[in-house]
Amino acid sequence: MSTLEAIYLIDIYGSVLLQIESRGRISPVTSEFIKSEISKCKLRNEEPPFIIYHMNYLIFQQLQDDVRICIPVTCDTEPLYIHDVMKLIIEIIKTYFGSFQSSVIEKNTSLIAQLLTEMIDYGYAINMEPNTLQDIIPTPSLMKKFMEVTGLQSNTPSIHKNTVPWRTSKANYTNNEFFVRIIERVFAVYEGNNQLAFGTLKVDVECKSQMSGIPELLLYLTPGSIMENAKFHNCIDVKRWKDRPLQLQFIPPEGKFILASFQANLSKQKPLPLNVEAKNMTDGNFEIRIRNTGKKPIENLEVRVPLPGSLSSVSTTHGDYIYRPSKSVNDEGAVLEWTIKKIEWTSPAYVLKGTLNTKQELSISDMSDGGFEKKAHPKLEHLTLHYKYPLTILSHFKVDSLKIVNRPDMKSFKGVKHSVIAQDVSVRFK
Amino acid sequence: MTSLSFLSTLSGIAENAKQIAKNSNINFEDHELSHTELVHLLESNSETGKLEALHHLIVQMMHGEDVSVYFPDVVKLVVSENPEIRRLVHIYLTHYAEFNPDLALLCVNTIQKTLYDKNPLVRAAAIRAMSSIRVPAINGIVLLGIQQSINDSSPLVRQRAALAILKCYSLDPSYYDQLVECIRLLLLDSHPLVVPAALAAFEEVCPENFIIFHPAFRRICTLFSKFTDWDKTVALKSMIRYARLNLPKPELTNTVHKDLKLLLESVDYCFYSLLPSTVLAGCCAYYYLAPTNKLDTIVKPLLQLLTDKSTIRLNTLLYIRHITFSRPELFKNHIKSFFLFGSDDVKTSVVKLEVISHLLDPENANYVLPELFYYVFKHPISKVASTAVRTIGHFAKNARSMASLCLNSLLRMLESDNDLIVTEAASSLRILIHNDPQEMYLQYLASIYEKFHVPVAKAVTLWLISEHLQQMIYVAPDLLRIAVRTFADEELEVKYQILDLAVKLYVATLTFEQNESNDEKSNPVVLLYKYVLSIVHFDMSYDLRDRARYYKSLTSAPFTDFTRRILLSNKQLLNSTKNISQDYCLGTTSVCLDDYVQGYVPVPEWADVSVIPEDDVRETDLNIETTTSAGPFSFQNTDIIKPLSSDASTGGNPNLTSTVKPRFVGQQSLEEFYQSDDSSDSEEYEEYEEDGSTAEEVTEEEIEEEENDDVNNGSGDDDNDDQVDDYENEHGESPREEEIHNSTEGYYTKENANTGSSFLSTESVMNKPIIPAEQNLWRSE
Repeated sequence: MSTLEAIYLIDIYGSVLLQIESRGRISPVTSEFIKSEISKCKLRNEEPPFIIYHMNYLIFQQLQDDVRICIPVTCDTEPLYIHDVMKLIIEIIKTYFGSFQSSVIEKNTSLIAQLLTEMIDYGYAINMEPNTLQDIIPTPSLMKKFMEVTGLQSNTPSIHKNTVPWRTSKANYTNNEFFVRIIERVFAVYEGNNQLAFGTLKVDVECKSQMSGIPELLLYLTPGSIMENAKFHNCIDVKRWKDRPLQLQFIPPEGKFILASFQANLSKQKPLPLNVEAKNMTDGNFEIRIRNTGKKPIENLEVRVPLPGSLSSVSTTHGDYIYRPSKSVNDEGAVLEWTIKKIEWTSPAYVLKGTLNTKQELSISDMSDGGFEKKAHPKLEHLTLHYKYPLTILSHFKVDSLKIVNRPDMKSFKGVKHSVIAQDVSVRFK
Repeated sequence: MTSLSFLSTLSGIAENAKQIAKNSNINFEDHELSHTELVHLLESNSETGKLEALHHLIVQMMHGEDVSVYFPDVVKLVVSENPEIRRLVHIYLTHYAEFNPDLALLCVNTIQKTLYDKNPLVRAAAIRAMSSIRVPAINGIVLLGIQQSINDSSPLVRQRAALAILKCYSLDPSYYDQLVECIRLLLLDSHPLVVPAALAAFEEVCPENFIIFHPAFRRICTLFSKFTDWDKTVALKSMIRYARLNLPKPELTNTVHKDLKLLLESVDYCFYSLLPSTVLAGCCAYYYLAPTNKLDTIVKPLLQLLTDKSTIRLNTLLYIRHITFSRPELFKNHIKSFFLFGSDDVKTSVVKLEVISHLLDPENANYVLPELFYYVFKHPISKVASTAVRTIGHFAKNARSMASLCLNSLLRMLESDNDLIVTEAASSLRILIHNDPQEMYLQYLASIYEKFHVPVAKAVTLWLISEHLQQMIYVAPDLLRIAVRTFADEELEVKYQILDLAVKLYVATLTFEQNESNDEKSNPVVLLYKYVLSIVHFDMSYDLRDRARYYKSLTSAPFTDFTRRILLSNKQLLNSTKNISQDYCLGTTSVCLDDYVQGYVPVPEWADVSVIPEDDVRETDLNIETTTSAGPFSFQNTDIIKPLSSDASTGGNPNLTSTVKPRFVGQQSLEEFYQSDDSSDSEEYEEYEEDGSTAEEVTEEEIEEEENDDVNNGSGDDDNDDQVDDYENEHGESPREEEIHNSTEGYYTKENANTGSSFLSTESVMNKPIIPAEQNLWRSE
């Protein structure tokens, strides 16, 4: 069964920031074991795996910012369940305290302990809704601090009314606002001639709600908005959606949340706005040419080029580059990173040129033979791109309008913001 | 604007207050407090001081330090009304109670009192805290608390009660019967928060007791869509197990049992979840329960997870690898989804290639093979490239029609710079060529022998030639001559092969040419053989020397049939692809690690038709159909949800209310119904009252003593009285209680005596004075 034995938050130096045991006492050996396993991996210069199983200890761990979150589990369980629990813990700590840094956790240890105890009882996840948690344990705020300091009685949580399980009962705003953001993430591989080899599009509908009371929203989609493999926040009634696929009716939770996530086809009619020409030339020289072919600026471009060997020289017309040498023995994993903050659509092509060192293999047989026959120059194979291209749509998904069913007078819909993120796009060298 | 200025004034006041507080020796900054300071703060009258001290203690506790010395001081705070103090005390208490059982007993009564609080949150926290105190002596009281809480009007309290059952059982299994009865009632609950917790309790306390599960099964299925995603994942484990053991195996769509259909329909909702684990749990349920022609439902949800984060991607791939091993047809059309993206790490890439090797067939080879070749020759990570080689080799073994294309490309790979690729290609070729020896390939291998710089490639070439000597008898001596030249520099595995080739060639040549010439001395093969034997004689490896000695004595005598049979027999090579994780079930860590993990439990096999219980065990009088129509919006109506309640004032959710009423129709006459109802109700009511009064007595005693010290608590005393009264009133009037008794009535009218006794046994615990008066530590001197 999926029972969590304990939760450990450990900083990068290996000292325990917080430990909560949920199913009876755990011997201190466990935490020692976790530490030793992690330091073992560090010695080998690699990131410890998500699942550590050794000597009948089953431990799941993950590094987020500078804190490692470790969950030992009593017996075999579904690994992704633990992964999801970790993800939620991180998210909740972020919404409460703004970040998941070790300094923040150190400062708020007792509140985090309360949160985690509220979420998990005897190894079972019992209260995982951020909104309900906030009803029980209020977020640290100025008001509360004031109450504490002046010694006034901070208001006890009102009688818990489990009206809508994912919504807080205390939402009250002067300005009622509702934002929708549609993020399209591209996963694709392009051939050297800029032809799409294969790829897919993942669309997330992110919402941010700041609305009083219990509003019932109805989101109309334009015809043709097909959601393939759709996944929804549990505020959406799937059955109703199946009958009326162009309407999404829901009572939103407060704050940021993902309303829906689905897949779409990457159509060949709408090419990506970035034209990349990547060429290997003679003698280990290579050239990468990048041009914005869209109508809007491209932001935060990051080009990663895995290198087969070491570099002898690099130069660029724009942006910064950084060379990360490989950690392993055989030169694998070296990467050249090229970052550009912004490319205007009017700007000329940006170019990166470089030369690779020839591989030098030191082996005795080569030396004795008086040098092997001359080695071919290594070649680059592909590069990966990551960038943001705001205000564009690649899929056919569009929001038509939003209505508040039970409060038609409220005008809180602030419109939709689209953006495209090249999450995992690679281009192969010619 | 106004709000802003208001806030700034507030913060100003806060600063001032902080200053004042500092002056009055109460610290708000993080720094070490001494023992006496802490005790002083814990005893102080101000909430802030207490909170400060508690925060300090909890922080130390969370760092793994032992702060149990403060136990007596902290325990006193359990009476506090402040929710935060209470929460912190509960955390502390749960952690240290087992070391101070006597002191822990003191607070149990106080906590027990809060079971009657008006606020369901407080009640929920109370039952949770009570059951978390791991002191066996109080188990009786915990049981009472559970029995009371499972009838609570708030689903939250009932949920915690279900988990309390688990804790109670793990501490002391002797209350098994009573606890199972509680689980039975909770399984029949109609709130989606409660049922999953009850399922968890069922799974840990009485996993084999399906008798109590049968009547709940259909209701759980209909409620399933309203479970939280987290609960869905956990609940599905039990549901899969139940279905496998109690429902007939589905063969085709039209023969699916209606209950299984109901379950599968509700599992469908998992696929729409944003939580990857829930989607995977749904896929597992389908994989193990659905008829084969329905399995394609799981394909798309699984594929969508491949665009998620790397950990999720890898785990999903491991599941897909498991599925494609036995059912490649499901993913055949989606083979493109497993092509490598730029950001896939080594492990992900390797698993993707393994999946591809399961899916590859002559039909899709025309677009998959070029992609694989690209990985082999272009991928920057050699581990990935070599796995691609293995995939091609594997494919060539299975698909005869494409074998020559694959062979040619594999031979080309032998010339690669990358040692791993060459090794992998060579070992694939070994099997391929051996099973279908064509002179062309063997000759080609022999011809490029000199270029090899990887020992495996050399060894494989030598081995292949020596195995197919009859075909290669004209090439072999020359190859041996070339190989022997560099003998001293070779790896051990190559040396073995050189020796083997030499001896086989020697035997073969002498056998074939026996009649033609007797001139042994000038035959180059013989000379080579002798030469090999003599250099092996001086080799470092004693195994190699041994082997040479063995061959020497074998060949020194005139050849017999046995000699030939030993050395020249044909060998059958098996496809040595290892079985991948076929033994472990989906949804486990074992399948991900491909290794047994402690506590691994496989999904049970479908039960035999003969042992499957009849359908009507699942028949209940609960009218489940009505609850299905209520979407998530019904949450509004189920407000302070009273699951089995017929209370009209709840705002009229007719669906829920109608679930109970038709229960007794046709089983009892109306008169009997009212009679039995009355009697049972009054009986139990009396017992409740007794419980209530004992609790009241104990608490009153305490509080009287307490009053001497703490005048403030006098008001608390009154409150407690009120609360108990409230409870009694509620108890007398609440139609809910009646309903509960009605519902239990339906299942065992004759077992009233039984429940009575259970109450009695627990009552005896209650009657014992728990705290001897002289030990009463509430009186702090």
